[in-house]
Amino acid sequence: MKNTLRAFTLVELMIVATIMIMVGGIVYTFYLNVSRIYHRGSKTLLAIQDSQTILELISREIRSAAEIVELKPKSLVFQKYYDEPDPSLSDPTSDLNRIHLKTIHYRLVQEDDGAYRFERKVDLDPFEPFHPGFKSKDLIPDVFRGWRLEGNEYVIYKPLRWDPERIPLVEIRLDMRRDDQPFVLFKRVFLPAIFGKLPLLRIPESVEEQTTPKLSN
Amino acid sequence: MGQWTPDWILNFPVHFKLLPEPFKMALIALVSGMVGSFLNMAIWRVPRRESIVFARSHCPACGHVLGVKDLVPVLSYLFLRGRCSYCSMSFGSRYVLIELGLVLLGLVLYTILDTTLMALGIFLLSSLILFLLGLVFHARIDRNLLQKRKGFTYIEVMLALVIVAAVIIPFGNMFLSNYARVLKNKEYIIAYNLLEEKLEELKLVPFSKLRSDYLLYAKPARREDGVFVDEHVGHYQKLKSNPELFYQEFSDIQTEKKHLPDVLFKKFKKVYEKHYRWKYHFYPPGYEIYRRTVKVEAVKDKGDPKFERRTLDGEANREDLVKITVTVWVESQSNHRKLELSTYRRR
Repeated sequence: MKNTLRAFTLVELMIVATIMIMVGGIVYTFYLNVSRIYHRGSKTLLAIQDSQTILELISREIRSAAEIVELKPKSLVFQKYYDEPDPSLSDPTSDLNRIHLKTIHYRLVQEDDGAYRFERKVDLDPFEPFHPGFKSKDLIPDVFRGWRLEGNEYVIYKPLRWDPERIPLVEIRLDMRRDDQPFVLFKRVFLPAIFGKLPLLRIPESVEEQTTPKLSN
Repeated sequence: MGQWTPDWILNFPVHFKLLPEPFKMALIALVSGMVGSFLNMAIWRVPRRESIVFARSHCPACGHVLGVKDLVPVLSYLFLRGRCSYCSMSFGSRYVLIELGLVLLGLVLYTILDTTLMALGIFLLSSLILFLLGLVFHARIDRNLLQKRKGFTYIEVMLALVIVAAVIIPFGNMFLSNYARVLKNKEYIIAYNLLEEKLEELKLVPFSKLRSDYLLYAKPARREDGVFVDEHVGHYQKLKSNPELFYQEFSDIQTEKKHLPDVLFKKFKKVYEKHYRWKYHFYPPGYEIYRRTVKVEAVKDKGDPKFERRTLDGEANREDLVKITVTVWVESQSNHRKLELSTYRRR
């Protein structure tokens, strides 16, 4: 008797299923790998971009610092010259009015999930998150380092021997210990104010303040 | 492998690299042509369920075994004008087309990708596609062999899958190359920071003390101030007398993993600290791929009148101008680049 039913046999179905599973498996693993690499790449890219932006922003601000007030691995406080007009002063046309010092605070705060975030504060304002995109679990919280003058050499200062007058150099170091792509970005910023150049702008209030430490060449 | 393999096979990759370019091209053309010849044979025999390995090449019409002169890809076809040399039966242009296509593909792949695994992979994949295409068209032409049926054959499905794969893979590669670009970018950013750092350092050096790296480390005014002064430093001894070699090898980026030999590194540190006046610390891990040198040269002027300093008499005073050039080399898996930044300083 001739078989007139049109249908798949079990063997045909099994062969098709096997082939489908094999092809699907290959395509799926390929897709998985590609997407994993893509996400890893975009994460690394974001981390690098954010780190570099933070580095640029902070180092630019420190460049115009007059004096370092406090420097610890997780926090940095310095005074900076602002040249915006101060409405509280009586004579708005005077040049001197435009120069005033502000205190800037930077600190690294650990959040509940263990990630670190930068915060910035100007004078009496409350701390505000700085560059809100930046928040990292991989950051090693040893970011700010000062270099001090000892004898004729600059050496990394130890916080115990605290001498804020003599920190001519600040190093900002972002050490990201990512599993896949560890990287370290750092920048050293030289502070010219320490060598008696910027105090021209500053109005000395007492005789003690006029004597700035000089570098012996 | 190993001890039973003849030396010439083990050494083949090395010898092949040393061959002159025309020989390499000829060899690649010959091998790809032979692959094409094999495919032609397989396309004929597979539908007929003949062995593709054990039977020697023979004419399909008279069955005469083919000699060496009939088996040279492309050329044999041209000499025999598409006919069997024994029974003068004509065989189709499929033979020469597939052989020629594969020869061209092999040469193009070699010129673009060199002898890499990627090139081999693309070549094999294309051969597979050609083989399947050949099977399909050959079967279509010769309808006595495979009856015309509705629906897809396994071969057609396979062909479709291979084509789909060939389309998907480049898309995947797009993302992979994206990742490689990210890593490259990271290296550029760090290299740029290194350039800037050195320029910042050089700003602090008094004008009279500005020195090129060669004059500072290899050939200072006092001989004992140099880094490579000892007699037993071997290879590094050459750096002392040859500035070109010095700039090819020296780097002031030293890491814990990769640094000068201990004796030299101690001296380097001493010279560095005396000159730049800050303590030398190792660079962080991962900075092994960078190399950095400084060149300082006296220049007459910058080629731009607005930079000229005028004396009271109105004449240009160009005696005290130097050009500082900092160069960073990146040598990593993904990157071989030289980055340079220069600035001018006056007394």
